[in-house]
Amino acid sequence: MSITARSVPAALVKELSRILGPQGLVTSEAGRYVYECDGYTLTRAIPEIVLLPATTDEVSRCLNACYRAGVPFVPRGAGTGLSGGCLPADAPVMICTSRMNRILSIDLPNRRLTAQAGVVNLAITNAVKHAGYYYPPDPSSQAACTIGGNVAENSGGPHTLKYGVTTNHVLGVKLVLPDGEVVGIGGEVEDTFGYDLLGVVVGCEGTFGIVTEVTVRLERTAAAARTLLAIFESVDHATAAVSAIIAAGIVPAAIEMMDRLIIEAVEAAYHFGFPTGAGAVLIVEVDGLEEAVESEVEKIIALLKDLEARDIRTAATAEEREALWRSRKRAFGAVGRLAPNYCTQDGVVPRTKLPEILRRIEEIGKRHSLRIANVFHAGDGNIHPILLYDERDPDQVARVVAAGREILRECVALGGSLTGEHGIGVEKIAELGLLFEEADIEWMQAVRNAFDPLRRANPGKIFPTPGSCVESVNLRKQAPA
Amino acid sequence: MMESEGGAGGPKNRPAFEPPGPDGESESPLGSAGCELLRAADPIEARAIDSLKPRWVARPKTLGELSECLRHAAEDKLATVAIGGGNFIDLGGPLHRYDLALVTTGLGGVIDYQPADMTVTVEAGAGLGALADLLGARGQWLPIDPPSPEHQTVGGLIAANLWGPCRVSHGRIRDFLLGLRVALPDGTLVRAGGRVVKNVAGYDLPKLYVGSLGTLGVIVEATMKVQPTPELIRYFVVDTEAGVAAAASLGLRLAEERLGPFISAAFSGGRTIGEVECGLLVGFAGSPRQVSWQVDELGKHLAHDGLHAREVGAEAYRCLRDKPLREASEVAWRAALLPRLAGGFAAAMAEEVDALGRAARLSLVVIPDCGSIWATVEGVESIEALAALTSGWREKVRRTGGDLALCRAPLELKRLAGVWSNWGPVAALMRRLKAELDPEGILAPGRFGGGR
Repeated sequence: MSITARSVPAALVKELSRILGPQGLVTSEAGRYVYECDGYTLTRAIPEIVLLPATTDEVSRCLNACYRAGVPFVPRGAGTGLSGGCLPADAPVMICTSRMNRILSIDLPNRRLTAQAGVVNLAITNAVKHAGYYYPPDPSSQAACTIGGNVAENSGGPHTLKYGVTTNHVLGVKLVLPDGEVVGIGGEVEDTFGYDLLGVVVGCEGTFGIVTEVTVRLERTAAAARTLLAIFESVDHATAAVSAIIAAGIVPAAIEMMDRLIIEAVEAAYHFGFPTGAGAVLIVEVDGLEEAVESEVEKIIALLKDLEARDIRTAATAEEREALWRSRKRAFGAVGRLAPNYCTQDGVVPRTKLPEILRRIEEIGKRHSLRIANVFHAGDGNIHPILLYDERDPDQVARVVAAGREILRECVALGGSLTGEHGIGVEKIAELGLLFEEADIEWMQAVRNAFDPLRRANPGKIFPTPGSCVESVNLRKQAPA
Repeated sequence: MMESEGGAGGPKNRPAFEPPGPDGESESPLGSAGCELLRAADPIEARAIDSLKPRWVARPKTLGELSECLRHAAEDKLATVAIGGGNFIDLGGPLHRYDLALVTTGLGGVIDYQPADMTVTVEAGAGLGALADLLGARGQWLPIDPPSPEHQTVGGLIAANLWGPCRVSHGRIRDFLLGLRVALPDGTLVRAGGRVVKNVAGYDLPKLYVGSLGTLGVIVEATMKVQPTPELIRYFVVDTEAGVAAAASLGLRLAEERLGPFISAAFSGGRTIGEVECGLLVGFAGSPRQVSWQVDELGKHLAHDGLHAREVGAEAYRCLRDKPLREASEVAWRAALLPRLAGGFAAAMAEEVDALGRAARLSLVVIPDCGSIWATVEGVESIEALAALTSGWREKVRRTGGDLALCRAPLELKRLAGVWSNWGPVAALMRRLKAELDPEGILAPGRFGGGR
């Protein structure tokens, strides 16, 4: 009954173009080429057809048509993902939410906003900041990435240390199942009874269907915020300071770290005024009530001084603070100055293991003769080693892939995870077995069956497919049974 | 205190079930060696749910025993209900069948606690009181405060998605849950998530088990992030004679004024809080300097409305937190609405109950900023009247996009009014999920309307 087609039959193209009209389809080779990859560029594939629906109803009708034709699909937002989550490798039809860019409702008294999936993350905050509200998750790509993509990946950002990730701020979604059925999950209220389906839809990497609308809870902007820049001799000193701040019972809004390579690249690109001779800098932000912020800043400065910070600077104005964050969030862009290509990993370790993992990353870089830059969410233990390479050199590419895997192995061995916010996608499928056993993966697949029993939604992502090379080594400490 | 047993090793005996009830039912399907038997003094009646008594009670002491126990129960398709503290065991639709009570309190060990990482992993039967002691010794806590936490287990907190007054500042258990280990109906042990604070490897299955009431698997181990205990907490009660709606709207106003309350909960009816019958309990937590600023600001805002805040002790807070369990009531509801609608709706509920007679009264706790309501009723004997209240309220709440559940009720009332709303198309998805994870329909069958 369920034969899955690997190409798009002409009749289906005709039906889709009837549903969407000429402006809703991309069929030309040049047009489709844009969609060959997301921010993960090591694997590429060109979709056979790209659909640009504008409404939930159009998505529903398109999916139903694909379903009847037995054709799998891959959803895509802005294509800023970093794990190949919207690589159209095993699905010929790509459905892109870029035309679904309307904010549908804003209810400030109840702090709710409902947006179509293609609305850009930052546009949500921009729509409500005049009234003193914002949407907390702030991935570095927030000026481009979409709320639908954020839901698929359960995106984070620097400020998730205090405020949590996407799943802590989304209250409801409209989900179109692979057969075209539209289901409202959650809603505007905080509790609906029954299973927390929303909890698994967020972070499903598009494998349950396509989310077309998202309702979020807005937060009130903090009354006060202070941002500190602390300069250290070495990465070791900086990571020790991170552990000390957390251990002192302080939960800042964000603690970010940049190492020497990144500082130099960012400085060359944006001239913020970072000290280019420094081994590492920490950006520490605290926010909340004026009175609370004052006492936390004092405590943090005292700690940083004890831990041999070479210099501590405070952003004096809101403009300075914004400039500092802009530099941090554009750090990935500045990496282009260091090498023609880069690949970033997204492993997580318990916060106290940061110094250890960074030492191991350095060793791995040396062993593979690779330059690795570091800019990451230190307070969460979420590292982003950036492996620099030149794709024209196949040997370098192979070394990058090998080094990336070794880094993830080390994260898992230290009690951490493969990914903090980028997702498994296609990139880390082979590593999933480092964290989970077969029964764990079967359990996840059983949940997927309730949404997409025929594997039409974003096939070939997250899970090893039968016959593929599966990593079976389990590094996780076995708990007593 | 918590037992710090690793659970490793131990005799490989088959877990035993408690001997049969007084009717002298035949021998347990699992033999009688291995896991701890419940004392005869601990009657099977105590574990009756919806007027049904289990045929057996088992209290495994190791994960291996629990898994074996489930495996054997699954072979005989025994309807199994996992029980932690048992305080909210009535939550859910009437059970269709009830063969085995699987008591998890024998599994209460600490698996891993890393104060510097602010994460803790415990077995599901660990009590919240013991957990608070463990964390408190290192200046940390889990800021989720369900009614009578000393009688709740970590597994129960997750399975019933319990919350209390702290919710306004700290959210729910789903916001703290990092990883989960679950025994599936056939006894297979699986895990999802991990023990780091940020993790998107694989589906976020721990969330699916929050509020799942033991119908998708038995929670056996949980990893949570914890927080530093506030340096200082001070509580204030504001008497708002104008009613619970006025108290709730005051709570919302304080939130808008960026006073950053740690607690802001409206209440009315039933036991008084700080000798006040109807009002708002406000708590501030943080450094002494910050708290004293907040207290000053609170005073200013209230003076504007001609109101006054009186400082009360932690006892008043505990009284409010425990209110939903302490009222002498057989019937309770939980409702969820938009923040701006919760206070008015709660007040309308109270009015309807008052109209039912002199003895009738509704006890309410409202977290206005979250739109959450706990309600318990006293002095209404007629099941028909209670059913009419339930259906009427449910219809009104549903019209606003909210939800209401009958979370404690005698069987008759559950049958007459239904425990859950009609969730619409999403219910079909839930049924499919239940069928995938519990294909034989043996875990608490009937709890979720559609569930088998």
